[in-house]
Amino acid sequence: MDMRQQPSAQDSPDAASRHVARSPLTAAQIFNAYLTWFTTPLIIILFLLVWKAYVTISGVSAFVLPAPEKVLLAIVADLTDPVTYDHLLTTLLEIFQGFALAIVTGILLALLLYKVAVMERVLNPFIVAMQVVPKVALIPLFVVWFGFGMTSKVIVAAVLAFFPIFMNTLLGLKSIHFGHREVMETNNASRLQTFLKLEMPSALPYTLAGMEMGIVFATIGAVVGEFLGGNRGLGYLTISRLNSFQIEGLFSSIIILTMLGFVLYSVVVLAKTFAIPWHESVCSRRTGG
Amino acid sequence: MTDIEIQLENVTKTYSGGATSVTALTETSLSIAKGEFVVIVGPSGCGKTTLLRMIAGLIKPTSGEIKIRNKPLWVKNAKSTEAVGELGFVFQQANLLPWRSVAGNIALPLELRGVGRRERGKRAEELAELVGLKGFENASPHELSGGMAQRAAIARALSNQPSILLMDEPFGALDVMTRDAMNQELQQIWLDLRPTIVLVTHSIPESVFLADRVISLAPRPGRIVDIKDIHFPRPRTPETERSSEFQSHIGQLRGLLDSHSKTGKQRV
Repeated sequence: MDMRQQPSAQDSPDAASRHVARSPLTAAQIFNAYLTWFTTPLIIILFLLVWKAYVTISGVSAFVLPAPEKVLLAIVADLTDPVTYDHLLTTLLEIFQGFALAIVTGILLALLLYKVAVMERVLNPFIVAMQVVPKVALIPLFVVWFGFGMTSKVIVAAVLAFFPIFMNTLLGLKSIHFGHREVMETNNASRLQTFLKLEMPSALPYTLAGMEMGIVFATIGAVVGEFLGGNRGLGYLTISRLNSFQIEGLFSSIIILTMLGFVLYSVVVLAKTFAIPWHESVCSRRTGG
Repeated sequence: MTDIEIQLENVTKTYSGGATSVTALTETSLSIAKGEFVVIVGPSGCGKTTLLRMIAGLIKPTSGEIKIRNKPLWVKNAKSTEAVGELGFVFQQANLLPWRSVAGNIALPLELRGVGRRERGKRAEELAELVGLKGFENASPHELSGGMAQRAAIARALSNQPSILLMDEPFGALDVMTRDAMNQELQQIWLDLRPTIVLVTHSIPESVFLADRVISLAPRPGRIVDIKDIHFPRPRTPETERSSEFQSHIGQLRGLLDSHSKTGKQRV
């Protein structure tokens, strides 16, 4: 018998467990897998009931806290009004452009600092300084520089999203496994090959983690930018409703913004599962580990 | 006469860190013939890994010269790509790239040398079969056990058909049973392909089982203290290990290494 045809029994326990993982699920496993499908709507319904009960019992003013069904009607009204979609599109474009700008600059600067070690030493004090600046405080300045149009919001979104993407990418590049590097070295890989086949894929999970945070920050940046200037976007809509005491409408625009943020975040997380299916953060979740 | 594949001439490696400097290996000369299976054995700190890494060109000797097939490995401060091209290296850890399939990992050295996709696929399949990973070509490294991952690493090191295979405690992280099986398979691979193998280990039985020649190193400073020829017929089997001659080789090596290490002196 040629034992090399098959992996010998004693060192392939994982091979066995791979097959076990594909066997039919027990009732408990199904319950566990779909748990949040029941609990999430249940908690939301419970929350709405408490809200309704509080409004009814306490007699709080409708200008402070409207009843949930009023808010629901306002949301329906917003979602059937084409003007809402104009605002939504504006905000979405600002987020996209800012986010894209942050990805490009964040990755490029991280690469520069990684490849040219002296650059990191030279630029580090400034990067730290820029990071501790409360960036939202810079928005009035951006309005002065870039006007009340979309550009200033794009810049704010980009500035906020830049840091997590940049910092994470740099961390990823610095965390490349030494053994992997030696594999490339013993095979005489060129610098370009090492970059394309080792450094880029190694740093990608970190960049994507930075992007997960970055998309949230870009959304915040665009909306806060709209608060402070201009006459378009969901942030503007929110502030204008506050100023005209449309409290139900205010709730509605906040909820629409929340849904937008949720969708954008989910898209990035989904992109992550496709981009790095091999990574622990993705594959351990898939196997329920 | 046999061809000399690897030659070390008065090689010394000193690591200097600030005020202190440590001599990992001192004035070492050694010739390894083409197709020979050499095992380097010794306690921690004896410079055996340093020796292997210098042959691989991963670190540069402080003084002395290393030649691969009669060509200097280092010319000034540059590694000779020609000499390095002859080498395959198996590390203590498998070091598989987790974003590549098993086949993608095995074929990495070919990819880096510009071999076409179809040829790479064919080679990866052949090598997967050779190391007993047939059917796992498309598996992901995290699905492999330690032994299987190390098989893939061996296949990777063999993929560009190197004439020299350098192995740094390749089975050190495996359990004893897997390790014995892997040693048998490594012997078979060596008999099939006949590369020159230099394997580093701290296991004396492993060294006697695998080697044509066992080279013993002692620490402080790292140096060769003994070279022993092992003449058991191939392929060697678990029967070989039970023979009294095998046991006497082990006893001699153990006594030798003990006499050169401080812990050995305390034990006496």
